[in-house]
Amino acid sequence: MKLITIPAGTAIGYRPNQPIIKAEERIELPSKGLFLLVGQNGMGKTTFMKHLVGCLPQSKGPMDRAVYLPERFDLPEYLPPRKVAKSCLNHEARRQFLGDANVLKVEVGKEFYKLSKGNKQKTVLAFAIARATDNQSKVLLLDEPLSGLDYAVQKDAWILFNRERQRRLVILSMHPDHIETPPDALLVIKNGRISKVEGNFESWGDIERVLTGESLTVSV
Amino acid sequence: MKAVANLLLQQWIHARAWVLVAAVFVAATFLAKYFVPWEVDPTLIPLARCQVIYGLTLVIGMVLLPALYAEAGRSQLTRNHRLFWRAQGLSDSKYFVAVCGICFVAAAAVVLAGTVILLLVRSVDLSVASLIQSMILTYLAVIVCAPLAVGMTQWVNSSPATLLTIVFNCVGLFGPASVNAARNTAGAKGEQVFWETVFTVIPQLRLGDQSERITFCWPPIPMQGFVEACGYLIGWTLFSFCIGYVCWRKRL
Repeated sequence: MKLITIPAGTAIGYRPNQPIIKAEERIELPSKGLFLLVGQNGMGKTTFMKHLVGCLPQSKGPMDRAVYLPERFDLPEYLPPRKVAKSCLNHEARRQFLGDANVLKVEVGKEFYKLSKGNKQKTVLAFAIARATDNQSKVLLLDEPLSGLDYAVQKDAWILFNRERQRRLVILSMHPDHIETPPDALLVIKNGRISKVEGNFESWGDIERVLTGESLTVSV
Repeated sequence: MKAVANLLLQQWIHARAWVLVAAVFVAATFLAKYFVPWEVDPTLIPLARCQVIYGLTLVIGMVLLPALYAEAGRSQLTRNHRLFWRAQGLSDSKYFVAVCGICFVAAAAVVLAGTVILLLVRSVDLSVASLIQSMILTYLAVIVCAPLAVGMTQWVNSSPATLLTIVFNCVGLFGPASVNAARNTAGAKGEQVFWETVFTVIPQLRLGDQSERITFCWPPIPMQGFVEACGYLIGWTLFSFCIGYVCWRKRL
């Protein structure tokens, strides 16, 4: 079942006459699965995600029940994550948040500003996933969720991603140094074009070949 | 919307600015008697306390609250909360209402101050009706700028937004008296029209300053006048809401 369809010729950008990315072919994304959004810095990965959730002036409006975690996102600094969860998550989502925080080894009782950079990152990641559970989101978009996290934590985060891909469509924008589980497909942004590339991507090397290759038409 | 409002409220409680405010209130209540010759007439002490508590409520409402409104508005943008919640389907208007809902915190402060004065008021001649009217008008005056401050922070940093809001409040509090004096002394026709226009246009937030009523234990305002004053301040709040919302909506 297709959840998102991006028609061929869709131009994405902040101004109508100055698109940053174009979809030259029709892109269809299923209702469940994990997709990696890859591209070099400044190529428009964040812009594409904002387009999907309707946060660009030219986009149609918010998608129905999507959770988008921006790259820079902080919880209220004087609130411990546990209190944040109590304020805006339902019972089920709160339980999940506390469980995920445990997997990621986050101290949920400390005020947010007292947490280290990595711990903050882990907290907001667990929080965003819990919000997706709270409002039964169909899509979870995570912008650079693993930046600043060490290898062991990245590994734990992949446990959560793999669980979520069974429930909803997960799109991760990242520079994956280490891929724990191959994604269902890649969304590649290159030279102002976005394409869906399918194949077996088991390592960063496989993805790098797609990014540095001459052609994007490497579908298998 | 409920989640955003809830989160903001929790944030305020945990930021503990209210502890400082409460400490100032308590200290002022005990120190108020030193502003009057209480050794000569001890009956002046309760009235002095009422005045100090009311005066502090007004000052905090006009100076500290804009800073809190601005901080709340700014953090929504800089921490990317707007993107986060909007993606989940929270519309701009609902989000703006949720953030502006923090002015109910001001209501809590005013109600608390009113209750303390009410406890003290038994030994002075101020009527309860007069006190309630004063507190309602004060509350309406201090929330006028809230939507404006929140909206402005989407374009400027929280410091200039706070400053502009405080200036707006000061103009509303002290401006009408100065403009009125200029209006009365204006000679030429053009000058008269100018001052008349300025007097009509500037926000008359002085309606919220009822310190004289508290000080001199004046009787309640006649109902029609009170309703008109409330209507005027609510009108300004709605105007501020519209301007604030336009600023809010134009920026994401």
